[in-house]
Amino acid sequence: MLISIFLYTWVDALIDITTSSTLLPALLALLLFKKQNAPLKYLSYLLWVATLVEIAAYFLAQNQIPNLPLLHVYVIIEFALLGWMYQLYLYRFYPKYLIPVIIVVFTFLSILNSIFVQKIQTFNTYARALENLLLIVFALSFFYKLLKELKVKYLEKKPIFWINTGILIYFSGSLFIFIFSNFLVKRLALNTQMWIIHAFLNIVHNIFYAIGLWLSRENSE
Amino acid sequence: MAQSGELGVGTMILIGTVGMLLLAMAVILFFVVYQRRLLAQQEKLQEVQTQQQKALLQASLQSQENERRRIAKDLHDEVGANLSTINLFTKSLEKFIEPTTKASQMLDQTKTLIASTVTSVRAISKDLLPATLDRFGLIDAIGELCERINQTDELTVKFESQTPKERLPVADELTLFRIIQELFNNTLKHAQASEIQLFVHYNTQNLKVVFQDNGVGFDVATLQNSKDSTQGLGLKNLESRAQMLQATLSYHCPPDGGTQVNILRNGNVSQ
Repeated sequence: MLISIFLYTWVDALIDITTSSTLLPALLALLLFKKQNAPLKYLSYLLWVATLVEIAAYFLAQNQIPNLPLLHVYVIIEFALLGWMYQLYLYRFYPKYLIPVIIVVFTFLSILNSIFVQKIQTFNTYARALENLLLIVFALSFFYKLLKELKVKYLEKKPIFWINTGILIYFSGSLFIFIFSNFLVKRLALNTQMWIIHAFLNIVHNIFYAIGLWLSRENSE
Repeated sequence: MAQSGELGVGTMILIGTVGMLLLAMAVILFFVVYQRRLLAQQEKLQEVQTQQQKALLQASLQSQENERRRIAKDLHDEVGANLSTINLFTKSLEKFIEPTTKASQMLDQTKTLIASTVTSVRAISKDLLPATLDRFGLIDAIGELCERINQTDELTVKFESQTPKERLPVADELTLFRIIQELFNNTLKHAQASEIQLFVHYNTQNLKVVFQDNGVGFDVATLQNSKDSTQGLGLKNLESRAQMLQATLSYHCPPDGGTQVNILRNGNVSQ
């Protein structure tokens, strides 16, 4: 009993932290918006959308209104914005129309999924898992491009290095959690554990975004 | 039964997640390490290439000097000797020829030709191997060069130097002399100038040479990027000679005409 109360409070705190962890990079994005190059601006848009969605989700949850539909929409927006950020970095290295086509196809599939397959009240695990896989591929492709071009001397000073690393860690770590989210939602204990892991991953990835955005203040790109 | 099924799935998720995370970490680590290594390799390669180029350039300049020395020596030994002998014979011939005859006229013409040949050979020899440089130092050698050009009446040279009569290492003096020689040649060939101003100041640490003509100037950028290998070569030669002195050479052609070349070295000479 005691342990479970303690766990609950601790988890509660963690959930608050993870929800607000989007605020830090979003704020930085706001402050440093002018100094960012085009790809980073798309990340900024994403961060602001994410913050809004988190706030909306919180209020909906407080008022006992189901907030899963938000997720269906958010997944599409997240992938489109991050995908476009990658497109701006990769369009010279890879076929020019590849990423835009992928974004369009993904959006289409995701909408189909939300309407017909995994209705709006359930987790859209197929869409999320696909999104994760695609973003992992984009992140790896970006690393590959960096290795091939070998233009950068001090990687750790480049914003995009941190952002890319954050994306790789988060989307690969949460892949399995997302795949099984519909399964997990019915089993409280396991669900809590998994979402604790996800919370940590989320915090880490937002910190990486923040580091990346902080570095963009020197306009090193 | 449902319990163990659940645990099974839970474990699978956990293993999957940890697995993916480890993979991600491994990729990032690999990437960072590999990238650094590749960059270091690339830099080393470039360094080697630059060194090679430098060595090649110096070798070519050195062989140029050797050639010049050889030619000057041959000129002096063979041609010079023969000219002296011809001169002697001509003087002896004078005794046997009546003045105011056709033969006497031809002899006079021959004497004039010999004199001018001797002058030419001397001039060429001096250009190739300035003996004054070795014996009296750079300033005197430059002074002599300026005198010679002044005498041609093609343009006037104003030479100013502010140096105590110290001497630089022989190789440096020769290099600097060649640079100045080349600058004079360029101006004489291309600039259509009427006046040159030359200012030379040096000590063992600092070097300042300013060469200015009032000619037509030239477009440095086009010359340097020219596809014709011979065109940019003269400039490159000058720059690399300056490099050998640990000095920098810069051009300036103001829009109202003229060319100014600055050769500067500040600070300690590093051997």
